[in-house]
Amino acid sequence: MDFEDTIAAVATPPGEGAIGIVRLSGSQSLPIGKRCFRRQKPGKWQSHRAYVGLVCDPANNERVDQALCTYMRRPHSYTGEDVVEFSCHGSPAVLRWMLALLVAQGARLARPGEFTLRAFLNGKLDLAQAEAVIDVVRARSGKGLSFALDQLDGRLSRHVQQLRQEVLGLLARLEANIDFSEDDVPAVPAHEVEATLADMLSALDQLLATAQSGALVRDGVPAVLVGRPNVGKSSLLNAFLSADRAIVTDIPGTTRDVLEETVDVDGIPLVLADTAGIAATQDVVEQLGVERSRASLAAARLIILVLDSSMPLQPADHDVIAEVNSARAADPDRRTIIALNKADKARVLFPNDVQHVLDGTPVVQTSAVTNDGLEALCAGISEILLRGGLPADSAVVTSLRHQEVLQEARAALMEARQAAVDDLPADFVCIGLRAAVSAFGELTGESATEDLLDRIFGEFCIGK
Amino acid sequence: MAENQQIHYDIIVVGAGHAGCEAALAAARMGCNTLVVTGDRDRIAFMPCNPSIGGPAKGHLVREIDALGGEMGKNTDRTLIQIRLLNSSKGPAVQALRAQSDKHFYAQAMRQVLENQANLTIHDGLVEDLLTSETPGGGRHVSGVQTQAGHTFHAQAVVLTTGTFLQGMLITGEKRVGGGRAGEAPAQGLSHALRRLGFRLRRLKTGTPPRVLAESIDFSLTTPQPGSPQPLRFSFTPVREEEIRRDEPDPVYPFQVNTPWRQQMVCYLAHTNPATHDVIRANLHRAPMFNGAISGTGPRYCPSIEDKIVRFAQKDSHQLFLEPEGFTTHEVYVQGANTSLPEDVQADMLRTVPALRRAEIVRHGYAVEYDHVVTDQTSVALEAKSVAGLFFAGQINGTSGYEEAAAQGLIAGINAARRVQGKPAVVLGRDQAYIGVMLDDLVSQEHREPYRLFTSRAEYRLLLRHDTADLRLTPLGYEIGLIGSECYARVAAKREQIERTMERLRRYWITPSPSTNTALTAAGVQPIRSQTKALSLLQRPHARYAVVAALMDDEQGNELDAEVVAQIELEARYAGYVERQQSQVRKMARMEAMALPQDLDYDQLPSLRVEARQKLGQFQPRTIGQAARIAGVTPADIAVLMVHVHRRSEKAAAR
Repeated sequence: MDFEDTIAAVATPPGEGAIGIVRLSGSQSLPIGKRCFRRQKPGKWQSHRAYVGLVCDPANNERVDQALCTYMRRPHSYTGEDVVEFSCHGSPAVLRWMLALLVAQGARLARPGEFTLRAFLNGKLDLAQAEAVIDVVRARSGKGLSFALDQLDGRLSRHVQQLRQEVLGLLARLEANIDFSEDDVPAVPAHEVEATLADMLSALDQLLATAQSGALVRDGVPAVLVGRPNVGKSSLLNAFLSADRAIVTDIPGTTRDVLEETVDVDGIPLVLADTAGIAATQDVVEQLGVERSRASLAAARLIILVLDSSMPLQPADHDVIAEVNSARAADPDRRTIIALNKADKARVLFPNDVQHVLDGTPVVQTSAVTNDGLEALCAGISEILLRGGLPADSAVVTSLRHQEVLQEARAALMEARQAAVDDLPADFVCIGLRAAVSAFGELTGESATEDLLDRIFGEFCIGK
Repeated sequence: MAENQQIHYDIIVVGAGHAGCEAALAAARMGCNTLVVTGDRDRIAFMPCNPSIGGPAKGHLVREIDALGGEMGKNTDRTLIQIRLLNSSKGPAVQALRAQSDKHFYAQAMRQVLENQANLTIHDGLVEDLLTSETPGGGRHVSGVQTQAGHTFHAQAVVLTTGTFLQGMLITGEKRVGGGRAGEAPAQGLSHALRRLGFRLRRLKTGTPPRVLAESIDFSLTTPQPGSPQPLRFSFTPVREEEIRRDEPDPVYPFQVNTPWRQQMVCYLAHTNPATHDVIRANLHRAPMFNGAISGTGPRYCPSIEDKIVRFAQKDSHQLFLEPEGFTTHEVYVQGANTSLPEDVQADMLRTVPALRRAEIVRHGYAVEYDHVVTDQTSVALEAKSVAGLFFAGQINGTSGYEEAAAQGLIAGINAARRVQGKPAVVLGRDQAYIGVMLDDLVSQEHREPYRLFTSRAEYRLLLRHDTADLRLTPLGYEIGLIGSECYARVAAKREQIERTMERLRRYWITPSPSTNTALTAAGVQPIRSQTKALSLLQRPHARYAVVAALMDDEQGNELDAEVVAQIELEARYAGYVERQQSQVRKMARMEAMALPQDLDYDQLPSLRVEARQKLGQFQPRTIGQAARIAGVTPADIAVLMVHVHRRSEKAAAR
């Protein structure tokens, strides 16, 4: 909780709306906002005016989205601080990108309820609303994650913990030499400090590099159900939904970066496009033509091919299979699974008969009527998604919040290394290390000082 | 003591150790009629443990005590036999002074200060009971003390500085004797009195090593460690020449090194060896630390030698510092050999060390167990939360160390005096002083062992350098009334000089010219190509103020005091780091400024998590900032608290 910081978050309700609003609040709102926004008509910024322009990444000028940007000077804003709002297209991916951009420019992700809290503390909300603030804070920070994400988070936090321990170890050696200078605690040679820091930095960089694939898991895997008409795609979709798998995923750390309708497959949010999209693809081959079908397949990371086990493969099936195969060829990372549906009827097609149509693809027998095989399908999906893309014991940075904190730790370690390279006294190396330890601690929830002293007393015989 | 002695005082200080002395002096100097009750006036400011004062963080404390008008720094300067600057290459913030004192001189000199202090009376006696009265509001207020001999004294405030005397128990091997220090009776009644008033007490343990006769040591088998060749002192105000207690080192101490600025003594370094460790291991079953005879928790940073051997079994040698306890005494303190092993084992163990082959022990090491008051019952002003006017300082708060005790004594004395005078308590922030760090830690954290201050406990270490204690705290000391106007004026002038010079360096541009660049190159500084600010020139590697000042040919080319120059160079060189810590302090300022009501019933805030409710109730933090530092309180809990506090204040305003 820190009121000097400029905070950022998505301010529109969860879900894929037509418009998404990203809000900045704090003293640096305008400078940060300006850096990320190219106005159509450049000029002076006036309070409570909306400007049209492009959100661009100042690092590489890459265009993120077209947006409407509004500046509200304090105290005449929702929070009572300087506020900048971007209204852009509501796609979660765009909103997420924008947030990352603002964070890179110096904003901090808002904690749950923090905008409202600031508004309240600045006298912008009345007492009744204050009660609601508490509820918001509670509800959001108490929200659990799904199982698979928990596992990923667990792995990440183990990795972060390990890194933190390593930094703590180096810090303990330096600090012990400072606080117990007359005990025989050996000094750490500068080259050793540099080498250790270089190792830590490369480990941290590896972790940060996973942020991309982590985001995919966190935001949801775009998936599509394909098959010729009457193979039971919509029944299958309904089976997914009725099995209480339709979820609203609230993404921890980012307050509003949410996918509205997502199917939970063993903890992995599976974005079966949107309902309308799925409905349209139902007859995609016949009605919308090859172009539309390809576009839909091209967007998907996971393709669920639905076949009817009660009759032999039809020509229309082969058309769809051909489309799927060319989509696979275009992107080898694209995963596929075959649902051999209508298992409740007399079966003509068996897994062995269809295994060859999509090479190496698992086949699951399902019945949308009896729900038989649904669990197996889910298990199959989560397995192909997790096994292929994410090695079982690797850690993945799944949230922007994690990414932000790890970047902070990285900057601190860089500084420590610079201090060592510049031959500054040990104290200055410690400053950077300590900042890194507390950044890691934000993820692992541990406090620096006591852990540091535990390490010192555990490792060195102190007591001259 | 005259039989018709007065019985009414403003303030009573119980105990005259390092905490008690500072508390009593501060109170008396602030104009309060003060009584010190001590078991033995020969033991005023006695050092029952090692004869050393200072070290990292502790040396900082002594400087801060001095800057606020306390006595410890001056008394050390009067009586030291050796002084050194530690950590000189590890960064300006972690440099610290450490001195060895002449134990007897130290106690004598401090006693003299107390005896000559106006408003201060010393009474020999053991306090056995506390007198309290009900206040109109239903609370409790301290009203006086009763001694073992049956004397009753009344006061508006009482400062307890009982050290290790509360139910003190001395343990050496199989021997257990009640006592506060070797040869002194424990305070039994006071623990009961505190319990009766509802205080929770806990047991802690500390220990001390054997002392050895100097002539039984073969110093030729040790490494002599001389004092600083450069003049060093703790106090910002030099003590007068005639106050310095001088003597020649006794000839029993060889290898003295001449340091012309002051007569010092060398200390001697020896080491244990595997044979030493074998003796200890063979006798572990007789060690009270390991056979269950000691229940109190000892400090990890000051372990007994038996503890070191067990916990660091792989180390086959530990340092032993042989420290003379004074210029003329033959008693040598064996630093590093804390032990409560039986006396025969202590001798056997020491005699395995070549230099100590014929060592004769004068006093044996012992462990001491004692009661302390759990500090969640104490305010950051060091006043008991449940008994107004009752203050605690030193080991009674679960701390260890002379310096920690003295700093608390000073604050307790100041705040007792301010309570009597109807003024608000003085509270130091974590960004202001190590004293602030220590007091905040004491009242916001659970402590499993005697608390000692380390520089690593301070998050704004660069802002708390030992050489800036006067700049940081002397204005406050002046405001409180412990610093004279002359001293205050000197510090104000120093600050003004620093600020003026820094401002000048910020504004002054230096133009490149052959002569400029020759001067720079000669000083090892990179030459300049374009106009450069004097300040950024000073920030370059190897740049010194004198070099830069010589290039500034304006009329203000004044002669600056060496201390001022040192400050300017440090401020310039580490400006980026300092600015960052200052900005962190600013960020915390708003949270530190949000006061939490002291009557807040956290159980009535269901939005808080159970753990947070329990911890907040236990510590009753003073501000949101302090609440955030309590282990087990999350940012979400802090948000809930902020809303609640804000709502309360709005309700109050609406009424």
